[in-house]
Amino acid sequence: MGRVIVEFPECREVFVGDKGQGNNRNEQGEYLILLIGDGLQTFRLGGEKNYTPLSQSVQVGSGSVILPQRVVFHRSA
Amino acid sequence: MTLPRLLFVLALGALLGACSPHFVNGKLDNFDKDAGYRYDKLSGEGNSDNIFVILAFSGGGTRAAAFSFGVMEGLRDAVYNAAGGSRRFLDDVDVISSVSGGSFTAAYYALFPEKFFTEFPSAFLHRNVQGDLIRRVLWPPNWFRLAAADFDRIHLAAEYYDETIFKHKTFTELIAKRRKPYIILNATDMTLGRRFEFTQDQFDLLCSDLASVTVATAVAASSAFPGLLSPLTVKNFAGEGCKYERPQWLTDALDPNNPLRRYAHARDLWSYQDPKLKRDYIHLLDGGLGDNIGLRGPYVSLSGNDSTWSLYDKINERKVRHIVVISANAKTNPSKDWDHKQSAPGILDVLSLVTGGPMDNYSFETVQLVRDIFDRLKDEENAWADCKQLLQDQCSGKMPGVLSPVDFYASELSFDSLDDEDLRHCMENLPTSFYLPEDTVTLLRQVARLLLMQSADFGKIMRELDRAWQPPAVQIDPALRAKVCPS
Repeated sequence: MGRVIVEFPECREVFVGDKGQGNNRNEQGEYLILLIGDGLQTFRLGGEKNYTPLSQSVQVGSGSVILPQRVVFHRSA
Repeated sequence: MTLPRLLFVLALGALLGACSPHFVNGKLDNFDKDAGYRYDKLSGEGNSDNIFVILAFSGGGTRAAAFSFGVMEGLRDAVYNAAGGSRRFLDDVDVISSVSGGSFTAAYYALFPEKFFTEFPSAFLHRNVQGDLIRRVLWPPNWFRLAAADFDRIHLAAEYYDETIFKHKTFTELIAKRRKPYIILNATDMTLGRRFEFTQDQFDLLCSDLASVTVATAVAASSAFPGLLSPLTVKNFAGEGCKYERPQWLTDALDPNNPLRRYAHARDLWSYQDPKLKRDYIHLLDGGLGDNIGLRGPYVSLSGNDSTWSLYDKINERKVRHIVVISANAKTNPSKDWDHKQSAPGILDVLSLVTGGPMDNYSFETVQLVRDIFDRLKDEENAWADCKQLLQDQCSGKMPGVLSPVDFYASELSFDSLDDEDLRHCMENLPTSFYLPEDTVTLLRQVARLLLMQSADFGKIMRELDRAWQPPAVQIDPALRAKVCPS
């Protein structure tokens, strides 16, 4: 099992393999640590498509609860 | 009609039947991920995902059915004070995954929840199913039917279950009910040696519509013990197409760089769609061959995101606060006297060991895997909380992310846990058949309730829900016990 945080400046719903995983941040703006199965996983965000990349495939498995693996999305210009 | 004429008509019927094969499952014209028997299409009155309860019912013929029924009686009687008044723990059950004998209990509850406790004993537990099946096989007109290429002993069994127990209900009824728990009736795919479940997620891969399949067919496949019953064949319509859209998680899991367990699972699933493999017919046997406690499916959902009802997904969505797994395992441990003799065990003993031994080891492994997941998740949660505290105390720092706490409870109910050695020995030596005397069935039900109420983890979740909860007293009737287990 892998622990992941999905970084994006706003609170967004996270999708892994097309299935919703809740939001990337809580009401206080803190990142929520997600529990993701080991192996290749495709991440994308919900809401407006104003981010890059629009989806990314990541090998999950290197993160822990202390140091979660980071999956980063940027706001597109 | 005279006898020769009757026989002629029946023979003609058998021949015509052989010319136009019928399948137990129909084609799905257009794949629709929102239609059919799926977990997320069901709801339960007041049954939120906050407490997520999974039951797993093992195989073991009538013994397993009676034992799982006793567990259900215990869950019915486990009443706690909730916000809206008193509530039965039974009504919090979200998923029941079952194999073989346990599938009769699971399926009957799903179809007839209102009359389950009053009618299941007479509908199945007290019925001599084994004797009835033998009589059907020996009834001459059925010989002609059995001579047809597409009709076998398993169809006779399914027909009998359909008429007498499940009253011609199909999965359409379960879809229409839209009611939890979600029932996963498991058989074994003979080619893969892996679990095959009667859910629309599985049937999508075959481009087949589960809705028209009778529940009795699924139960028959789940309990098709090798040798006694023939395998059940389902048609794979994938070659004819249904506009199936492979989910992204399956595409990801088919990458060979995945952990081996995930990759192998995905390849098995994709084998139904892969045109190169030409799997036009899928032959199914007793679910106990792939997983004799019905826990393998829940394990997939508890250990990753590769399931439509993944617990990882629900934990991430902050929907789940407590996860409870109760496994009703009616496995036996018959006394063996091999080690007292110099002569080697006979062929029947060897066959019994070869067919049952690996199955029991695999089942034990699955229970352990589920416990390991729970332990690891809890350890991680504790480590995170300790680290957070340390950071605050020592450096006024913050953790990089927030974790939502989830509690885990795992109860394995099996005869192993009985303190009373004589009772344990008696239960572990019960036969595996589709007939048990009524007293034995009643004793099994009492034992199941006793084990549930004595389970430490079950007590923990009940007291978590209601601090004042006390387990109802369960007594094993001494007279009944003396009758079933004479010393």
